[in-house]
Amino acid sequence: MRRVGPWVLGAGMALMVAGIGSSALDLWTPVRQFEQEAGFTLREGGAVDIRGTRVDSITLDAGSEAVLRYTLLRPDAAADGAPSASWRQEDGAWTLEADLGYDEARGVELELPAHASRLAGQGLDVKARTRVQALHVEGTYVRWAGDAGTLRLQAVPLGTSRCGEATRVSSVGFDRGEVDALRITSAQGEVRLGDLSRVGDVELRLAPDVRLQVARAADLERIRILPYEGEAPAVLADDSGAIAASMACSALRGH
Amino acid sequence: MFEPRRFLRLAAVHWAEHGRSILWFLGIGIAVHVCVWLLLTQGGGSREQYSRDAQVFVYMAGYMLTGLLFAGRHFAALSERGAGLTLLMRPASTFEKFLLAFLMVAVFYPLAYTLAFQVCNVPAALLGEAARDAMLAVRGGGTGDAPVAAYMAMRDYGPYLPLGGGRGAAAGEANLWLGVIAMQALVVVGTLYFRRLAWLKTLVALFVLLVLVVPLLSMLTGASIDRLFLYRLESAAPGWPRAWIVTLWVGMPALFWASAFFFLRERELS
Repeated sequence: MRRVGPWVLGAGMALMVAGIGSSALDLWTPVRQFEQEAGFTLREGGAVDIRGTRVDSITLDAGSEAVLRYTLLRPDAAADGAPSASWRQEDGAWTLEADLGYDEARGVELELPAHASRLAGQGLDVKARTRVQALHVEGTYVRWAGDAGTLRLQAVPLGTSRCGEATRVSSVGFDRGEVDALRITSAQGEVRLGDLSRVGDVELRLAPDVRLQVARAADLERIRILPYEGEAPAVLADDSGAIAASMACSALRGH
Repeated sequence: MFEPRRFLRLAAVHWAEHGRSILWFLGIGIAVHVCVWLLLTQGGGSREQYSRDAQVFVYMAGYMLTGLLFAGRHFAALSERGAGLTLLMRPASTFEKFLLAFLMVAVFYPLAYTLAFQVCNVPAALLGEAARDAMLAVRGGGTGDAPVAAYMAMRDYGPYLPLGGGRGAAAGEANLWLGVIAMQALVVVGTLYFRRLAWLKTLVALFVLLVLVVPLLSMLTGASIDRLFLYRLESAAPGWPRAWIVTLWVGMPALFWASAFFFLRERELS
């Protein structure tokens, strides 16, 4: 009698091994790429909704493509299965509003490969907003790195209340590259700024109880601090405490 | 090959013989669930620990463990000379016996487990939510002064209902079910293939496969299996990558169960 069972079982095992092997192949880049560079382009004045992990392509304006890239670091475990983000232009600045669910490892990563300087020149306003849950990390951070015409901005949101929404940006680091302008809006928490030597205009719009920390006190003089919804920030300090606080206040007065 | 009336009689006989033990199996599962809840909540004193995350973990771990145990019991009688012969000689076709095994293991058990899970889960989840609310009321949850309460305020509570968590969660649950169904097929194959100490040998084989071979293979090839999970389906490029993911998750269980059918037929003929 010819035994068929082992052959069919072997076929199943082979499929499993092939599956494991396939996940290691470079051919699998469409999935791998998504982790880093799922791209969309932006239609001026329009908004993008990203449902789940799908990214739709639109156009910034005539002749411009691949301006922005959007990444969910953890596209899984969405609170409602549909994390979304949208862009809008306001007072010359582009604003990203992302509704990212609850996992602390989830975030939005933006790559600005082609027309980054142009966008940066307009000012990039990032609001990473979470709706719910999870409190394992101590802060939202925004990291901006750039190389050879590519700028990367990363915002990882922190859930702050069960029902409420909050905007928190607690740190910004600049690894490489040059940025014409940086604009950050923060309603609470703290904003940490790294080395700003490669950044042009820096504009912060901070709520009264937002703390500000800078890596280099000298950078405070270059920072333009604006009130958030009409209320001037009250607490400003850097790692060195009172001295930096007075410098920050002088910077505020300067504007 | 398949006669509905004969199949129904086969199912009735199976239930008459094993129905009581199946109910006991589920009952013991509920009791274990209660014990797990007691462990997680430190004897019921920290009921707020039973958040949605904890429920999902208990559900998945319980399903993976008991699902394999349940699968191993279906043809367990084959290890006994007398009972095994009776089972093989039962007046039904091989396909009918196989179909009954598939329906019991891969369809009936997930449903029964999910229902049995809720027996303990619903009250425990409600108790957990009430404990969390009480804690927040006392500590002023959500403020920076009470980090523990703030943490509690951000967690999900309330009963975990499979397929009730939106599309992203459903993809993960489908992954769980398909993965367990595939492993259950391997267990069934093991109980059909090994003649003595079938369950023990199957356990060893599964251990070698899942704990040694698959992770080792992943490490050697630099594979990232999570790329193949169903929740990544939407992020995969349209076309062959998506088709490949679906093929894997449908094809593996299908082939493993098909092999179970052939192993059963060959066991009957031998």
